Amino acid sequence: MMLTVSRLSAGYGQVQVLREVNLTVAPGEVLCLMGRNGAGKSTALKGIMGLVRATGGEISLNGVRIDTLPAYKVPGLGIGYVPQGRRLFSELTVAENLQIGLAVRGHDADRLEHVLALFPRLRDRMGQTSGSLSGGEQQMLAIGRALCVEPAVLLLDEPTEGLQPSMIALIQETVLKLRATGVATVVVEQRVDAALAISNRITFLVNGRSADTVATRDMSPVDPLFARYVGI
Amino acid sequence: MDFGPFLLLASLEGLVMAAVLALTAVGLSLVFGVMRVVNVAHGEFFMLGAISAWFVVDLVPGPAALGFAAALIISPLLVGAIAAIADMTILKRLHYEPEATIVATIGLLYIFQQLALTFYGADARPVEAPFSLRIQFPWFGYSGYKLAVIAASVVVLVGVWAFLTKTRAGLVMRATQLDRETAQAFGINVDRVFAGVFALGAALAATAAVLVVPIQQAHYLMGGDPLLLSFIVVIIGGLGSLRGTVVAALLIGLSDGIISVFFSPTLAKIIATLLVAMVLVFRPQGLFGRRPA
Repeated sequence: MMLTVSRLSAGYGQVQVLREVNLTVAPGEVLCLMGRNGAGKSTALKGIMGLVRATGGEISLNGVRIDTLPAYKVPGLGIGYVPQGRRLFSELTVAENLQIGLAVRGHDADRLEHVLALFPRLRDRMGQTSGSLSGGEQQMLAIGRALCVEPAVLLLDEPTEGLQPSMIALIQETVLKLRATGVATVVVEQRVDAALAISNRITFLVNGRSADTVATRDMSPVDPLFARYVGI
Repeated sequence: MDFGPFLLLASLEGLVMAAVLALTAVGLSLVFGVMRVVNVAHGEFFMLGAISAWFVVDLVPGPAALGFAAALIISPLLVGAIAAIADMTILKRLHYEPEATIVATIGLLYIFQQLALTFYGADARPVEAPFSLRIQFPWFGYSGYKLAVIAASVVVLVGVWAFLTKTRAGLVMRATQLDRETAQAFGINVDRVFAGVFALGAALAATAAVLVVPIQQAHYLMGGDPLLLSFIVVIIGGLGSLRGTVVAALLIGLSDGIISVFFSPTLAKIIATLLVAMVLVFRPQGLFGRRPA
């Protein structure tokens, strides 16, 4: 499914965070959102999920507007979300967290098996509360829970934040596998090497506005755009 | 009577109170735990349960047990429906903001009281117990109905526990309690969950009232004591902790029963209030609550 965000404005109460954000992501494509702290990257993903109400602009999925829907109806359209900081239901078990994801589009044992095949370590932790997992396992569960939705569009907010290199490699490998299966992915990423490794394009956000969008095949880790927009 | 049998009698009275209190307070705790709403009108849902039970028993012809059984089903459903409507028409419009909902539920308290006064009247009216059975201990006889109240409360509490831990609806409620934004991001209609939780909390209070109304009497001002005691129990147990609520209800109910019998009911209330003050000073999160992160 094609996700299109046009001139999206959104914020929290009186505080306007997004001012005309534009982005598109096609099936089998990974779009990376980059920018300095407070640029509006996480808010853009929350805006797509309906968790932050849009005050202007449009969000559409395959040409059908979704920004007018209540937030709880958005995941049912096939949009999976991995929030920043994972936001697992910490007192629920791994199995219960996955059940919450599965319930979005009706319980499906095959989908659960697919997720457990991607992250076999979760299979051994099914009865454990998610708050007691290691950071890497929590991130696997956060992504696994989102994949239980069987998403056509996947939104990942800093999925490699605070993880050890082996875990970062696993997460990147998973994103690439999903890309190969046709999932459209929007990922917020602070690390240049990770952004270049997994994404097809990068959209830079500046003060809540989308600035340049560049194909990653034309970029190197020392591209001046990173210094300009991310400060690296 | 010797001290031992006297203590047994006092403990039984305390257990009856603990059982009713646990049901009422679990409703209050559930509402706070999931919705973060301090429901000052909770005692009025208790009162509405008792008064509606009187109406149902009065309307149903035949043996007392039949009317009582009908009340045990109809009153919680009716009061739950009233609570769900109050949630959807008032609390939802206030976006469940803590201060606003406290004021709104104070308003609800007076509205329910005055409606009860208007349509039920100022008299306290008895509801006949569904059966009359006296259990004879070696030292004294005791009401079989009161023992049935304890058993019924335990059954309902186990049912609530099973609902929350073994059903999908319970899972959805617990997920919403833990993180309502993320719950929405996984297709959970939080407004519907809140209406359901508010209704369930009120229905539990109404169930407690139906059980207790053959022991007490139905009166339009009867909601005050259950509200105060529920707050005491919920604060001691830990706001939002169902396990803590049940343990605290047992503690307060038993101490109230024993102290009331051996000394005076006033002293029992003083001690309960003192206990709350100590918990607030030394362990503000309650016995089983968690410190906010």
